[in-house]
Amino acid sequence: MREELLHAIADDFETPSYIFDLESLQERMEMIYRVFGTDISIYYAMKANPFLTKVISPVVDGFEVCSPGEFRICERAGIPMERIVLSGVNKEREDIERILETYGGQGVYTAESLSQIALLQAAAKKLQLVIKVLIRISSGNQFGCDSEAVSSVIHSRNEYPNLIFTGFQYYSGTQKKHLEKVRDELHFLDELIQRFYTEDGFVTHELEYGPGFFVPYFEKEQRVNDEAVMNEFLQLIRGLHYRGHVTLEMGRYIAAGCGFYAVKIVDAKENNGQKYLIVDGGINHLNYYGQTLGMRIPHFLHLSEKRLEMEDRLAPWTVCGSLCTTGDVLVKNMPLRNPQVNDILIFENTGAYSSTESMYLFLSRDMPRIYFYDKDNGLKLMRDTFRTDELNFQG
Amino acid sequence: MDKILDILEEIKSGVDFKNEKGLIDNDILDSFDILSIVGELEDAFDIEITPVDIVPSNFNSAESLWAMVQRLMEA
Amino acid sequence: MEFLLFVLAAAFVYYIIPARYQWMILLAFSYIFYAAAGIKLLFFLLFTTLTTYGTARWIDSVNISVTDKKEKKSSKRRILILGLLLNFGMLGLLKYSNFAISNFNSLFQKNFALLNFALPLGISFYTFQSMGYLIDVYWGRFRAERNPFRFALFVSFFPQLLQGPIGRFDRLAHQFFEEHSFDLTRVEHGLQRMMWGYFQKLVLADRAGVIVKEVFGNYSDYHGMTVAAAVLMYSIQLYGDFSGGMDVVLGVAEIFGITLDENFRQPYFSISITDFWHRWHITLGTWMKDYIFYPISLSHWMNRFGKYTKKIFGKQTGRVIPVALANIIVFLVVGIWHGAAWKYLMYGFYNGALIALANLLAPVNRRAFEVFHIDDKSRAWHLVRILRTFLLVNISWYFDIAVSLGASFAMMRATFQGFTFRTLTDGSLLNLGLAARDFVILAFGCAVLFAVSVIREKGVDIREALDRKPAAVRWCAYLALILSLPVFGYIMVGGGGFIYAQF
Repeated sequence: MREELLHAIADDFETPSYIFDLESLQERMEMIYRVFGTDISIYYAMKANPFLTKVISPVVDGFEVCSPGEFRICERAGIPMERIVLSGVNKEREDIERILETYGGQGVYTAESLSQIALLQAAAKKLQLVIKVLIRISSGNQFGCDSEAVSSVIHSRNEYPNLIFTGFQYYSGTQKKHLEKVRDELHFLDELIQRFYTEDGFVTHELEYGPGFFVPYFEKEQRVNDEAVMNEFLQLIRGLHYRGHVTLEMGRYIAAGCGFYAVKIVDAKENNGQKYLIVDGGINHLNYYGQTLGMRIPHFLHLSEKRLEMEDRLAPWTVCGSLCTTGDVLVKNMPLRNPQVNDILIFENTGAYSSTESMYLFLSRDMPRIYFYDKDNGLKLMRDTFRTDELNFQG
Repeated sequence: MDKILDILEEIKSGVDFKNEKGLIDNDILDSFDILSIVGELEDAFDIEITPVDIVPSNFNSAESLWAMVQRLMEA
Repeated sequence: MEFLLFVLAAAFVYYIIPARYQWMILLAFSYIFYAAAGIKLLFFLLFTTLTTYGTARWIDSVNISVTDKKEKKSSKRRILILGLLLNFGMLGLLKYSNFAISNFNSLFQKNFALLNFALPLGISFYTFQSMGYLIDVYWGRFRAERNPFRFALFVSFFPQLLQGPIGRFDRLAHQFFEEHSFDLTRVEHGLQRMMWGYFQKLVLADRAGVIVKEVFGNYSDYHGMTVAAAVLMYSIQLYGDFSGGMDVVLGVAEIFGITLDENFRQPYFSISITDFWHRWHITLGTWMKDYIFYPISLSHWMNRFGKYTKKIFGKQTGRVIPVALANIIVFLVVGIWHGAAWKYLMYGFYNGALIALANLLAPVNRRAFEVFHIDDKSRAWHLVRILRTFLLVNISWYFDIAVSLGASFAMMRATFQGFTFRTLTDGSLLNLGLAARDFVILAFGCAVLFAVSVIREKGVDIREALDRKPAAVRWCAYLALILSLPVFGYIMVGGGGFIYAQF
C-alpha cells in the first residue's frame, strides 16, 4: 500500500490497529503462482494470520491447521475438510474423533510421533474410516519423528490398516536467508524417500514442505528478489529424484507484506538528551521476528499533517508503547522528521504473526482493531477493539 | 543520472554525490544550494518544480533527485 | 463581553447537536459574527469565498479533462492568475487605492478625490488564507474542496477572522469536519488560554498603550528618553495586544476542538531579525515564505539573475544575492500588508534589508568570530544577540507607530536630543497619562509574562503542568488571573478593541 493511499485513508481508521491490505495479498499470491504454477500446491499456514482465512481461501489450495481453535475458524470460514491438513503436536483424542465423526475420511492428518500414529489408527478404526496421513519428519527438535522412527513405521505400515500414509511433512524453521539450508534439507528428504522406496517399496505420493522463505523486516537488511528466490527453489525441487506431488506450506511469506500496524503518537519529549515518543500501541500488540529490545529498525511510514520543511531533519527517536514497563520499546533510535503528537506511525510487514504473537493480556489493555482494505470496499472494520480486563479478572 | 551528478558537482564541489545519502540530513547542502539546484534541474530537464516537491526525502541524494525528476517528467 | 456570550452560546449549541452537524453550526455562527459587523460587508466575504471556491474547482477540472501537458499548465496558470487578481485586486482596491491616488496626486500635482471604502473586517487575513489555498490547489498539494459550504467555513471561521492566524487548508479542513466530543480538559485549557490572553491585553497592552498614544500622538512635544520609553512601551503594548489576542483566538478555537497554528513563540528572545520573523506573526512569515519567497527564488528570472551574480561575485557571494533580494521583496510585501503608507514600506524595507545584510555578511561574521575568538555557542553571546535583536526590533517600531514616515524620522532624531537617564527618575514619565501605580502594575505584569515566556521557551507546556498540580494550586492560579482582570485591567476610554482587528 503506497504512502499516499495510507495518507488518504488516515482519517478513516482508529489507532492502534492492524490494517490488512487485501490487494497486496492478492498480488503476492499471483506472484507465487506465477512462479510455481499449478503443479505445486500452496497451503496456507494459517497460524501466520488466521484473520485472512476466508479471504485467502480462493487463492490458496488448502490450509495447514494446527489447533482445535484454528480448526473451528476453518469451520466458520466455510473451508471444506478436503482442503485441510490437520497438524499439531498435541492432538487430543476427543477432538480427532469428533472431526472424524463430522467429516469422515476427508482431509489429511499429520502424525508427529509414534503415539500420534497409534491415536489416529485407533480413532479411525473406531469410526470405521480410512484416513490419509502424512508423517512429519523431524528436523531435530520436538516436532516430528526421527528418520529411524519413520523408517520403522513405513516398514510396518500394514499394521495400520485404517491409515493411508501418503507421504511426509517437513518444516525446520522460518526466515531462511540462504537456500543452502533448503537444498540440504531437500537432499536429505530426497534420500529418505529413495530409501523407503528401495528398502520397503513405499511410494511417496506427497511431500509437504515448509520452505520458510525469508521476509526482510528491517531496514538494514538486504532487499530480496522474491521471484528469483522462488525460481531458484523451484529448480531445487525439479532437481530431486522424487517426482511425486509437492505441497508448500507458507504463512509468513504469504501474509507478512500485507499487514500494517498503525499507532498514533500521544506524547513526545526529550529526557537527558534522548528523544522519546509514546504511542498508543505497544509491544503488547506488535512484535517482529528477530527484533531484539527494539534495536532493529523495521520498515515504517510516518504520516503527519505538518508539511515537511527542509529544516525538518532526521533525528533518532526512541518509540515506546503505552505499557507500564521499561521493556515496552518498539524501536530504538527510529529516524524520524519532526514527529508531532497526533502523527501516525505505520509499521510495515506486520501481516504475519504480529497480530497474534504478542502479550495481549498484559496490563489489561485493550485489543487493537483490525481492518481490511481493498480498492472496491475501502477500509472495513473486521474486529473492533475490546477489553482484556474482563479476561484478567472475573467478577 | 549523470546530468544530476554534473549539476550537483557544479554547485558544490568536494562531495561524493554518487554515494552520499544525507545531503540534507547531514547539512551538506544549504538552502542557497537547494535553490540553485532547482533552477538547474528545471532548465536541464524542462520540468516544473514546485515548493511541494522541496522536501528532504527528494533532496537527500542524487538518486532521490533523479527519481523526482523522472516523476516530474512523466507528469 | 458580548463576544464571550457569543462564544458560550456557540459552544453550547455545538456540543448539544449531533456531531455530524457541528461544522454547520460553526459556519452559521461565523456568518452571524461577521454580519454583526455590518451586513453589507458580507458581500466581500462571499466574494472571496465564491471566487476562490470556483477557481479552485476549475483548476481541478482542468487537471482531469485536459490531456496536453503544455495546454494544461497554461490553462491552470491563467485560472490561478484570475483568482489572484480578483481577490488581491479587491484587497488592493479597498486598502490601497487611496494610497495610490494620493501619491499620484502629489506626484503630478493633481487633485483626484479619494474613494470612500470601509475596510471589511479581517480582509487581509481571510484573503491571504484563501489565496494560499488556491495556490496550493494549483501546485497540486491537494484537491479542491467540493462542498461550497465546507469551503465557506474555512474562509470565515470566526475566531481567526479578525486577526488570524493565517491557516492552511490541509491542516484545518479535516479538523473542521471531524466530530468533536465534549472534553472538559480541552475546554478548560481553552478557557485558561483565553484568560491569559485577556490578562495580557487588559493589564499590560491597554495600559502601556496610554503612553504610546500620548507620545506618538503628540510627537513634537517629546524628546530624549521619553520617546525611547514610549517605544519600549509599544513593545509591551503590541506584544500584549497581538499575542494576547492570539491567545484568546486559539483558546476559543480550542473550546471547539480546533487547533489553530501558533502565531507567537517568545519573539523577544529572538537572536536575529530572521529568527524574530520565525517567532513573531509566525503564520504571516510562513505564508510569505511558502507563497512568495519560494516562488520568487525558484522563478526563471531569479535563476538567471543568480547565474549572473555568481559570475560576477563568485560562487560563494553570488549565490546569496538572489536570496537577499528575494528577502527584501518579501519584506516589502510584509510592510505593505501592514498598511497603505510609506512608513509601512519603510518598515518592511528595514526588516528585509537587515535580513539581506545578515545573509550577505554570514561568511564575514564567521571569519570575525575566529579572529576575535568569540564562541558563538556561549550563553553570553546568546544574550548579546537577544539584546541586539531587541534593539533592532524597537527601532523598527518607529516606522510602525509613528503617524507618518516623516514623523518616524523626526522622532528618531528627537530621541537623541536631550537623552538622559534622569528622565526615568525625575517624574516626567508620570505626566503621560499613567500614575506611578500603573508603572508598578506594568512591571509586575511584565515579570509574570517574562517568567511564563522563559518556561515556555524551555518547552514546558504550562497548562499540562498545571493539570498535574493539585486542584487547589490550579484554582489559585485561575482566581489570580480572573481577579486581575477587573482589578488591574486598564479600562480605556472609548473601547479599546484589538489593534490587528482593523487589518
